[in-house]
Parts: sequence; structure tokens; C-alpha cells
Amino acid sequence: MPRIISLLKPTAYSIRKKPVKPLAFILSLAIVMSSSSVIASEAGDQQALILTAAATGPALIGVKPNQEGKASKHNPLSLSQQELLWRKANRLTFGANEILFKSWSEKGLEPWLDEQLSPPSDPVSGLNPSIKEWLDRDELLRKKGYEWAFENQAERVKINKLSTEEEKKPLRDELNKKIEEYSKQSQRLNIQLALYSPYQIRERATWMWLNHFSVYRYKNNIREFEADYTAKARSLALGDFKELVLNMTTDPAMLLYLDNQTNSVRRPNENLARELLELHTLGVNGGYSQDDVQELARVLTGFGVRWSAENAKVSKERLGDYRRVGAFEFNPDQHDWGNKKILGQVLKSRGESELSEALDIILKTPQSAEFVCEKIATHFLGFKPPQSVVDKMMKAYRTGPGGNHIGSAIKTLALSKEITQTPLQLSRPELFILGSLRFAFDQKMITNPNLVMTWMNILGGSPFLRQTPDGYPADPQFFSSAAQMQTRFEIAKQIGQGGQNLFAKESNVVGFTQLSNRFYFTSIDPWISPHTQKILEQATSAGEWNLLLLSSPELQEK
Amino acid sequence: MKRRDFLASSIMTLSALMTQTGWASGALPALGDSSHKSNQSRFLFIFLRGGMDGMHLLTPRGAGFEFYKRCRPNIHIPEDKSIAITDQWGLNPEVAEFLLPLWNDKTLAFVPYAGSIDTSRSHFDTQAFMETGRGSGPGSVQGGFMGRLSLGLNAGAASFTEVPPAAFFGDPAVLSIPVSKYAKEAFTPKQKELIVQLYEHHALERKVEEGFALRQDMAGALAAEMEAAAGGAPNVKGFEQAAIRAAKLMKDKNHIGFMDVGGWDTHANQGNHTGYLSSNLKNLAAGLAAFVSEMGPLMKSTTVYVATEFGRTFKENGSRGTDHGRGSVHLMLGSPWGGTIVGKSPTIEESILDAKRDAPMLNDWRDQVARLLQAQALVSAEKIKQALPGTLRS
Repeated sequence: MPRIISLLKPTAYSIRKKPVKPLAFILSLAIVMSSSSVIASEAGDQQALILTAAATGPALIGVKPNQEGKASKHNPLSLSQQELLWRKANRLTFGANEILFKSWSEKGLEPWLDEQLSPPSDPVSGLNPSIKEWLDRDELLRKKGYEWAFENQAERVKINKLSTEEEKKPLRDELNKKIEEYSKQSQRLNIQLALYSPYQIRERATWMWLNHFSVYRYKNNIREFEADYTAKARSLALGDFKELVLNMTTDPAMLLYLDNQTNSVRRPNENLARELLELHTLGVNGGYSQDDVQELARVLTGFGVRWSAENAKVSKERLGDYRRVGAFEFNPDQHDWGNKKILGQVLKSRGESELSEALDIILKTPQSAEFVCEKIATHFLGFKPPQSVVDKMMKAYRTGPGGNHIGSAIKTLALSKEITQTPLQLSRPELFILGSLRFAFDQKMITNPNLVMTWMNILGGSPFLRQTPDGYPADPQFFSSAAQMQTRFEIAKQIGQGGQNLFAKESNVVGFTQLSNRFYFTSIDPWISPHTQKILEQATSAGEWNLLLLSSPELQEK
Repeated sequence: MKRRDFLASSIMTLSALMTQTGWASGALPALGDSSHKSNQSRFLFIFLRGGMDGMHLLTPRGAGFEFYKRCRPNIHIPEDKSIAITDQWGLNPEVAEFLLPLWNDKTLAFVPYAGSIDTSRSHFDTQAFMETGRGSGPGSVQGGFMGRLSLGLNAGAASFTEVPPAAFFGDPAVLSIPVSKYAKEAFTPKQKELIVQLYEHHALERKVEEGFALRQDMAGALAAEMEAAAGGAPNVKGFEQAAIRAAKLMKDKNHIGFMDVGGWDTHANQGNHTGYLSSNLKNLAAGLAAFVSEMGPLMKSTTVYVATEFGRTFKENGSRGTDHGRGSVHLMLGSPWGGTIVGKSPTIEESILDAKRDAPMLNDWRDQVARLLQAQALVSAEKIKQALPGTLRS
């Protein structure tokens, strides 16, 4: 049984050396080859050729892919190979770009997928050295969240001992600035990893879980725990769902956000118990009752937060049950001992391990498996994924190691036909923004991501900024208002015009957005609709061309 | 009612109404029953975030004054400084210039001891709770009270903020019009045309067109302001500027609106009849007066409710400020009760303090807003009860 606060052991990183195989999913489709998608651009650069040559089927010289615009999107058999790759890339990663397609053609999709699902534990693994070096400048992240929390609390106590407001205010402001900077460094790292990490599926899954276990950074002192919460989600993103839930539920950020640090036998608070059932494990129609909420709240009593290294004073007879890890505390004196009943099953009074047992009961239910797999499918495919793919994922989820295996479900999803066949939807804000940046700048590092953060804060989608625990909705109706579409186009304009503010002055990296580049011609131009083509032709500057391309339905929908 | 059922039923109702009233034909009449004048009435909700100290705006006089002075030795407003409007209450002198005329001409009403049933005294929790619009009844509600109010009304519901607040969740048609930032046109006319063309025959075509039209409207509505500024008129900033812009937009297409203002969390050095808080209250008052002035004749069919999540400790703290409390003072503009004190208004004294420290919460904001909307006939009673469950019981 996984213990609370245990981390996955890093698996040995290995690249399976296989010859380039025809990409399996293409074999099942009849593809019309387009000569225009085969562009040998530079001497020795055969990447585009490898991709197109890998498919079977005759090459019809001079014939462009299906020209019927919308019709081609909905008839999978006529989707060009390039469009399939584009679609798959946008669904599995933060956005298609040249370096991604290069790794697909070098490794083959399934080996790439296996690598993605067992990444090295160090999150900055695989990043360009120059990017790693730039990230290293954010020193605050070297400290653990709870170390910060303890330091800051000690500082607060010191400040409160001062006698006048004049003395207190500047120190308080200083402390607040420090906390804010720590939070910003965590946000920057998250964005940089989304843009540049080769382990894209883990990054997508990290954002998925941060939204699933959504907390709001401006409540209480959650900013102090933001970096650790993110790191936890990342390290557990692709493994056993139970271990993920256990760790996220007992993280100080979650305990504070849903008020569980005040949940005690004398004064119960149901907030965390309710959301654990409704939002995290079963869903609102998952078949639990108000009694289950109350009983789960009893289970959760005693799980709290302590702001210093000093332990609580615990009664002698219970001292053996007291446990601290960082700022997390299980306090047996606050715990409601006695048996509980969860979903009709008796849970014997055992203390801290009751939570793990309660989760076993809950996660074993078919409703839970469906709920979790639907959430995963929704994140990668879009709102209202087809039941067919959820069913397949549930089987893989259950048969994977531990019986609640996230990675197995994702692998099934990635290899399914639904990954490319389900209809396109307006992209979620963060996927539009980060996808556009991946396309526009590829590995050229955005050294000033503050502007990116601002865009995401305005359009929605930033982790830790959602005030309510339900996370950002997946339904496009919530991010496709007239005003939001306008904001998208404005962001597209700023990216398209070179986004100078994205590059910090000291970094010596100059960004110039050239979107009508080789990648565009090999990977997008072949399938873009003639309607959009005609409009692009009317652009009178590169910036304008970029604006129109990034604003087009082809780039906005994923 | 379970969350999903509530959402499903409200969407079904909406689509049924849409087919009945000729949505498909392109005409967009106002929805809802014919007894209300939704295309004539306007409603604005202003949220003062941070816990505005109501006692500093509407301050005790007469019988309650001695106790008030004892509790707030350094930050009370002396009786010879506050402007009496009843035996019991006076106005902060800094707001009198703006609010006294509105009180005298019966535009303005005050709701003392106003607040929410939430007792957490937590900004986040109480604001979040208030924005859902739920009461103490069982079951969960979907979205926020403004969203449930505006859904399906076709009243140009707009949040005059950067992003719609939680109060507006549930109405996907709500617009965000950040009046604190002047939205200059970001695109050339040709670029606008081309982007609109990109979405020809696309499901998002209407939204894209609306967005550009919205920008144009806003630019138009604010053009006069820009001209005046160019002509040397005084530069009005802050809340007053935002309120004037909001009024311009509400006179035009946006008949249900939301604004918020921060800066009320006065834990230290709040001052008395002068100082930080009085200064802030002056800005607020100036903005409210400017809104009324800008609305002009349309103010007759417009109501405004100004709320805050909680008031502050009645007794001052060790830093010449106040901490989080319960009851505060809310304001109504354009109600039938202008020129009066609305709701329960006992004299302030030790025995009525909440938890021995705070002005009590005696007037639930939801009941006040519900009565206001009902008196205005903006929407049907049914809609009010959907937006604010458990109100309008009698």
C-alpha cells in the first residue's frame, strides 16, 4: 500500500533503438499523398521525406490533399497525413512544432510514447543546456516549500512583536514581495517546461492534475506551497491514480484551500471530504451520499498543517500516531477515532491509514474509473469525449500496474483512432497561447514569460488562479465569448509581430516571428483550407500574415 | 436539485424559448415574460472587495455616539464633523458633497448592518459564498447569482472588469468590458475584416463579429470622453472614470452590469474624518454621483446595489485600524426607498455586538437585492428566486 508522501522511484531512462517504422496509425487509412508536402529543404535534411515516405499508398504527383475545407476535417479518411500528425501533436503535447515532428520521425510514434510515459524524474531532464542555465537563475525554487513556510512564519512572528505600524509595514511588504517572487518563479518554471520540455505528455498531465486538484494561490499562504504542489503533481502525473490522490489531498496547499486544517473531531469541516468525492474521485453523480461526505470528513480529521518544525503537543497515549512531513501533520488528538462507513463498507478505526483505505474503497468502483478516465480523455481530446474511447481507457486503466494506472489509460488514448477522429473544438486558452508560442519560437527560449503569464491570467487557464475548486471548465462555451475571442486575436497579433517583450533584455536572445517557415510549409500548408489560404494571401506584412494564421480556425481549433 | 440537473434544465428552457421567439430568424427580442420591461430597466451591482467599514461611511450619532467614541478613540468621526441625515446616523463629511444631494432627492438609500450569513470573516470565503448567491438552503447552486439573473435575458449583461467574476458564472453570453482600461482599437479595419472572413460560416462567426462590434461600440461610447480630454477637460481618474464609462455603456446596450472596487481592507491607520479610508470613500461617492449624473433620465428605471463582503470590528484594533467583522453598510441607488434607512437599524450598543466585537449582520444582502429587483420589475419573481434562492418568501 503506497504510503503518504512517497515519490516514484525514477525509472532507468532508455531509448529503444529501433529502425524508423511506418507510423502504425497511418497504415489503417488510405492516404492521398501530396507532392507539395514533400519538400527537401536543406541538403541532408530528409525529415520531411521520412515522414511522408513512411506511409503506404501511391504518391500522386501534383495532387493536393482533399480540398474541401470543412468536409475534409470531418471525414477522417480524407484527412491528409500532415493534418493527422498536426492534430495528434496538439492533443498529446502543448503544440506541434518542428522539433516534435523530428523526434517522431526519428523514433517512431510508439517508442516515443513509451519514453513519454516513463520519463526521468528530474523535470528539467532533456532541456537544452542554454534553457536549463537560464532556469537556474530562479534560485528561490531550490528551497523546499515547507522550508519557506517555516522561515516566513518565523518572520511574521518577529514582525508582530514590533511595537509600531511604521516598523511593521515595510517588513511585511518585504515578506510579501518575497512570497510573490517565489510564486512567480514557480509559474515561470511551469511555463518553460510546457514550452520546451521534451516530456510533453507529462507536462500536459501536470497541468491536467493541477486543474483537477485545483487550489487558489491567494487563499491563506498557499503561494508558499505552490512550487511543491506542482512538483508533486508532476512526479505522480503518469502513475498510480491512488498515489496521486493521496498525495495531493494531504498536501498543505490542498489542506489549507479546503479548510481541512480546521477539520477536527470537535469541530468537523466537510469541505475537503465533499470535494474529494465530488470533484476528485467520483463526480457529482458518482453514487455517494451526504452520509459518505460526513464519514469521509471524519476520516480526514487530524490531517493538517503546521508552520514550524516544532511538533504539536500530543497526548502521551497517542504520541506514536503523530506524524510530520514538512508542513504536513497528522495529529491523532484531532482525529475522530472510531469506525466509519464509506459507500456501505465498514472502515475500521486505524488513524492516518484510514484515508488510504477509504480511497481504496472509492477508487475500486466502476464509477470512479469512468470518472477519472473521462477526465483524462476530456483533457487531451476536448469536451465530451466519445464513450468509445473512455471505455477502452477504463480497461487499460484497470489492467495497468496498481489497478488505477494513469499512464496506461493515456497510452490507450494516444494509440486510439479517436485521438485524431474526434471533431475539433476551440482550444483551451493555455493550449492556444502555449501552442502558438511553440510554433512561433520552437526552441528559442522566451526569457521573459511574465507576458505569457499575463495573457493566461486574462484569458483564463493559469494554474492556481481559479478561485473555485472545480478547476477551469473544459466546455468551450466558457472561453469563447465575444470578448475572449477578441483577446485571442490581440494575443495572436502580439505574438505575430515578434513579441519583443517576451525576450528579456539581458538574455541576448532576439525573437523574430517567422511563421511562414519550413515547418509551416511541410506541416500546415498542405491541409489548410483554400478559404484561409485566400485570406492569408491578402496580408500586407509578415506580422499581418502571422496574425491571420494564428487567428484562423485551423490554428485556433485543436 | 443536483448541479447537473439544474444546469440541464436551465439550458433546455433557454433553447425552448429561443425557438419560440424567432432566434433562428435573426431577430433577437427580449426574453422572459411580458410583464417586465427588461429592455427598459437596468441593474448594476458594485462589489466593494476587502470588507468596507460601513461605520466609517454611515456613522453613529445621537444615542449611539458615546459608545462609538469609546470603541474607536482614535478613528471615530466626531459628531460635529459628520453630517446628520437622521437622529441616529450621519454621513462621513468627505462623502457629503456627493451623497447628500442624492439622499435629499431620494435617489440614495442606506442599508445598515448589512451583509451575508457567512460567518467566516474570510475575504475569499465570504466573497466566493456571496457570489454564488446561495442562501442557507439545502442543495448546491450552479454558477453565480448574476449569471442566473442574466441568463437568457438578452440584456447585454456585462462585467465592467477584465474577467467576469464568479458571480457571473453560468451565463456564457456575459461580456467583459474592462472600463478601467481604455480599449483602443487593436486592429486596422482591414485586419478586422479579414479576421471576420476567416470565420465565415464557422460556428464562432457570430461571436467574432460581436467582439469587433463591441470594441467599436466601446470606442464610440468613449469617443466623447477622449475628445473632451483632448479639449482640456479635467482628467477624471479611477473609480469615477470607470463609473462614467459603465453608465455610458449601460445607457447603450449593457443593461445588467457588475463592477468591483478594492482597497477597503483597512487593518491599520484608517484615519477618522480625514485619512486613508475617508479618502477612499470620497472616491467611491464621487463615482456613484457621476454614475447617476451620466445616466440622466434613464436613472429613473435603473437601480444600483453596492455591497461589501463584511464590515469590520466595531472596536478599533492596536494599529488604529479595524479587523474583519460582520455587518457593514450597503447602498441602493434608484430604489423606491430613497432618502430612508432600509431594514433593521437598532442603536449601536455593546449588547448587540456580534461575538462581542462586530457590528451585527441584521439585513441579508440577498433579501435586499431581491426586493430591489422585484420593485423594479427588471425580471420576473421566478427569475429573482432562481438567482437568489430562498428570497421573496412572503
